[in-house]
Amino acid sequence: MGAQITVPMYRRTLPQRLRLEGRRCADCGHLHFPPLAACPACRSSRLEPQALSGRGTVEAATWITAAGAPPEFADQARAEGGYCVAIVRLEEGPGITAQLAGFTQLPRAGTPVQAVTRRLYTQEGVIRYGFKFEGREPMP
Amino acid sequence: MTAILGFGIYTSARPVSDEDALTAAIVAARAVLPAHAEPVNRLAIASTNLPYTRRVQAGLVAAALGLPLGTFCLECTTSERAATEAMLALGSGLVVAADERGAAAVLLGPGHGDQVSPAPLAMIVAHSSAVAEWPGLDFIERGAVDVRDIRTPDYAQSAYLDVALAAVQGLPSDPAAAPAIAVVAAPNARLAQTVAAVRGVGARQVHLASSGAAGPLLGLATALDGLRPGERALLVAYGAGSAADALLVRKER
Repeated sequence: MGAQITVPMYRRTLPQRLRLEGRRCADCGHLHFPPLAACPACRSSRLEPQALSGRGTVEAATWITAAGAPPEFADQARAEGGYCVAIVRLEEGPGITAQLAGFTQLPRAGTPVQAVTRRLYTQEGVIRYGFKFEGREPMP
Repeated sequence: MTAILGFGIYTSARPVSDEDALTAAIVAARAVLPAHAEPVNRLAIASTNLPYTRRVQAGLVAAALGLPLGTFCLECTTSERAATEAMLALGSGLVVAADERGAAAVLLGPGHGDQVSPAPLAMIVAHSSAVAEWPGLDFIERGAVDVRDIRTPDYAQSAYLDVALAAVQGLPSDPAAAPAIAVVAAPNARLAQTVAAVRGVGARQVHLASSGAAGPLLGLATALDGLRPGERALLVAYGAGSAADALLVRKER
């Protein structure tokens, strides 16, 4: 069973999915993503939305095959022979786990990437959009 | 007059399963917006292959761009004339034309009066349109998937020339301000040259717009790159059914 994201839940998370909107703590200034109800650094609930640039670098990456893909991404993995998932460190600080787009082989650590809006999968007949990261430099 | 403030272009080398007209539109729009300070609260999407056949889809683009809730939106979706249809209907704001090969975004502003936009890239100095009933060309029946066409070249040519020539002939005639270049959507290059010749554009200066809803805007953006300030481009868009728009665009900077 894969992640069941209901349509209302998906809708509530659109700012982070489409604009990479994180939250900055009004008390200690800590910036985090994805948005949480309390600051992970000081537990304050005084948080303000902040859109992130989407620019970052790959810290680590791995290849997901059809056998290892969660059900919502199984069709993509079968069609493309797998896909790449990476931990990306954003310029503003937070690290994000996300799919990479346009990579046919694993990128090296430090590869600069940029967030782009892509289709993720379809559930309940509703296309779920979100972010992936693509290379900021031409592929070798 | 309407001011063209800038273009954002996105072309996809190959269609991939996680891209569609809306994701392409978002990339093109993000390419043009940061360069301009004007707040955008008018948005038009032009495409013949949006992911859904029924529902408002401009909201996804608006949400991705962070446009205000009070944004007016327009969706032009029934023919490859969608981009100019959107530009002329919206007047000012952001128009994004997208299809499976890519997208082109153009930011429009007021071109006259108190609200005139500073330092526009170009101005739409005149436009003219035409519509006529020509059934049987490039259509999809409700509930169907496949594009149908009666495949009668002479008939398709007559339909094209009927509205394209009328649109171009409707532009003000000023021999001193003849276009230096033309971007024409047409079934073939010969027909494009026939239409552009009405405004005195030589065959070598006529560029056939690529097919798809984004084709005319992609062609216009490229054509303006090659012009000097003061020179003009003729843009002709065509939608089977049939309708055509002709725009005269003057390069400003």
